[in-house]
Amino acid sequence: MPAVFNLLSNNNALLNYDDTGKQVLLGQLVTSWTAVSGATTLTTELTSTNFAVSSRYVLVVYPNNTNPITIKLEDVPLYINDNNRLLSFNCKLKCDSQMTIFCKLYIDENSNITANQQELTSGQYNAVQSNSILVDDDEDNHLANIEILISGHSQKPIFFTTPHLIHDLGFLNNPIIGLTRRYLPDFYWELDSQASSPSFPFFKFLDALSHAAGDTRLEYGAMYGFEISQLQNPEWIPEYWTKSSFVSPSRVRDEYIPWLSLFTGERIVQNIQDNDGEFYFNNSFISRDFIEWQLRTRKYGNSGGTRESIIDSAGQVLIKTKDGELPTRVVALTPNFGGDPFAIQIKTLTNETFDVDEDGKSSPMVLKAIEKSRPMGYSVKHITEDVFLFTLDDISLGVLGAGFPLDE
Amino acid sequence: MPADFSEYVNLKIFDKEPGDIYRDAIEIARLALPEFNLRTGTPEDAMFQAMAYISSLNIAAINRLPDRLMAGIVSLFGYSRQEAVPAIVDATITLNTYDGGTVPPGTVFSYETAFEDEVIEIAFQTVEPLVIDEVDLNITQDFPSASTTLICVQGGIVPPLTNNYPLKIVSSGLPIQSCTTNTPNNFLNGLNADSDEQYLSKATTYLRSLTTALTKSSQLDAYLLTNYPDVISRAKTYDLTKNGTNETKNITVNRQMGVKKVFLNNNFATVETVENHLYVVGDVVELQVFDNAASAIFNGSHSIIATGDTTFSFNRTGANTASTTVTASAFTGVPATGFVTVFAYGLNDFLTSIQKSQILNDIRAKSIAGLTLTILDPTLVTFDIGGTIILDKSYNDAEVKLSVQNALIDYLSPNNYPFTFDRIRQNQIISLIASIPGVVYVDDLSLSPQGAGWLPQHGDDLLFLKKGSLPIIAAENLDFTFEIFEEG
Repeated sequence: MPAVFNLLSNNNALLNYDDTGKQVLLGQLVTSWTAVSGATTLTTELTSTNFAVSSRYVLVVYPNNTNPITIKLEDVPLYINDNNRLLSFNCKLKCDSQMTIFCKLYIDENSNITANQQELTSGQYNAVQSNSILVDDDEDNHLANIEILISGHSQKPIFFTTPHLIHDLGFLNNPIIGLTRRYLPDFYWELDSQASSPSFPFFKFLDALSHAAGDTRLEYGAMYGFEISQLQNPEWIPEYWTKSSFVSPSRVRDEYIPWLSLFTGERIVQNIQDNDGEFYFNNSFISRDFIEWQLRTRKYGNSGGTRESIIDSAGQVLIKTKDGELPTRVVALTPNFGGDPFAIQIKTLTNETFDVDEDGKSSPMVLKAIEKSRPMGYSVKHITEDVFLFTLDDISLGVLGAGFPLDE
Repeated sequence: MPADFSEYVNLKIFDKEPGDIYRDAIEIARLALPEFNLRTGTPEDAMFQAMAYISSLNIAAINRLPDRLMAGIVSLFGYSRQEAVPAIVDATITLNTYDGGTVPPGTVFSYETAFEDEVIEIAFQTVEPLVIDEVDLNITQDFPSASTTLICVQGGIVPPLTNNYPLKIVSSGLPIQSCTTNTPNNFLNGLNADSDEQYLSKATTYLRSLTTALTKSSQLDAYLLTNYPDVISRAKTYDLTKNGTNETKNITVNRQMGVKKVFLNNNFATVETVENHLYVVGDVVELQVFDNAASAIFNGSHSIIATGDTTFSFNRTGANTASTTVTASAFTGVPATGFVTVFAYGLNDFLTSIQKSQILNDIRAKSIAGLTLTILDPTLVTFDIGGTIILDKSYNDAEVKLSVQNALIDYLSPNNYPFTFDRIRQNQIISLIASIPGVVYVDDLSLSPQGAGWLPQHGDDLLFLKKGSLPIIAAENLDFTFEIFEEG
């Protein structure tokens, strides 16, 4: 992903294609940009003529008199990652009149900001740049607001296109920029940092030129995780970014999971369904945890077939409880069930067994969860119990102090 | 040359061409520099194009790494790709001068042959210098000649060469009059290299088999296919399966059915099931009758001697009973704990008993102690296919008919039919035929079981009676009516 990208949605960016590259027809585009003159909402229309660039539609604003008008976009949602980042807005405007504009970008309700003032020439597209603003560094999600106050339009149509809301210093995330800066005399950076509207034009230009190289370098680096000896601080060891996107179960990219699963000895099971077709792992986080468990432990593959693997596999579908309490994920495993040396019985708590409501019932979901770790030639029966009681001579329940929960 | 694994999992970081990078760069420049306007032919445009080109070269280089890593890792685990081996042939080279001379290594000869209606040229070359002595004209008037071994320039299997076959001289500037294969020519054909798909398939199976103990049936399949490639072409392991006779624990598929009525007449017991059952004559069925006096008479294992859609019968000695409504169930093919049965098929043939015995000893040694393992041949079952197929009039109908026949015989064969399927699906056969170029659609299609090995047919599909069944058909099993599609 490039270091600089548009924070506006495709519709509000007036893009004429969607994320899949499919063309969005003019009539299909719904934008939140509005234009007002005082308290009056002005007529606007989207057009596919008067392009500044062929990838964007153009919003035409028709002033109803010569009074100043405001083109605005309110309440653009920002991600929590956008906090403590410097944002700026830019766009292009055209009118057959010489205009004065005040372009303002503010966060939430804090509209008391000095707007960036520019004089625009008549009859051609002019670049418009807002002020830069720092998003508060807190735990809240914020909203961005954009206002462009236009005067001097002489009641002529105003053409508005290529709106961009960007991280103003996003180009610094391109690793090539950091390397380049190291080999350029300092005065390049000093001169560039003094520029405004836009800031850092030279390094932003370099970022555009080297974005592909930067992305490749980042991805290449991500494929090779850090060795412990390479980390300056041992506390960083559990950090996500120290792992490899290629071979670390906790960070491996979704596209590489089938490849990594080769080394577990079995194909990845994405989810487990009950008899009604309902998926147990019903959100992406627990589904990902289930896949990571398979990659990390290989219990469905080369480590399958053991007592531990059966217990651990059953535990995968015991992470939810019906009473809202934290799950114990306790599994009792009894070999030689019914006097058959090749029969195994496992018991789970009814409260944690998702697809069974009663004591003494068998859960198809638990049986599906352990199927891949079941040793060949062995049959496994399952039964739920409301409470696990201490049972003499039982290999699982006959252990004093093993911590099996008793019903309150 | 590393394999390209992108068909299996795309490990490429970027798949971008220079043009894509160029356009993306312009878009990024517009994002951050609203006044940016790149005009064609300017130095800025040249810079953008140059950077896009250089970036694409770097990306291409990095994209190769994961595939190379993959091949390297698989190699470290002990599996190497089968490289192509070239064919070799002995030939005699005759010079066109009495003075003799040396034929240098790399001298190329060729022959032409037709392959799939296309003329192809196969080249062979010398690999060592061949010294041919001068001729003493007092002894012979023949030009001097000598024999050497030629190696095919390309690896893999090539159309074979006959004895005394004249080869064309490709290399120029040499005093060679002729090159002819010897009699006998000792032609030894080459070996084809693994295709990417074959290599990936073999590598993944190999990695799955990497365990010192075989505890799961999927590991056993992978182990057999990896360790016996010259003996076994298909393998499927069914655990909880016993090769029992005269008992409900056997290799037939597991079936269970509710029973609603039973009666006994002249030592002939008849059972009526709640719906159409899947039992066949010869099945051994366990009956469990609950809460009824009939249980004493009917409970136990029985061998079926006659069937209807919802009834089956067996011999039972006892006093006649009236038809009695019961709560009962019948089942067969029940799981047998402690038993594992492997169905393995050889290279276009069944395994010999010696091969099965050797393989069985091997897998026993690596499996869980206490398990009873058996190796059986798959059950080959046959059936008829009939129907009406509509053809495109722009195609040669004789060729399309032959393609349909070949495709069905090829797919419905022990070598290719998926071993995990428990049935022949009508829809799948229709889909296969419809995908053949020249077929417009399949108007109707029916499957008819032939011989034993099938469950009773209650729908369009055919269900295998036994685990480890594979289909086999021949041209005489196909009876199609072909019609030409008429538009309008």
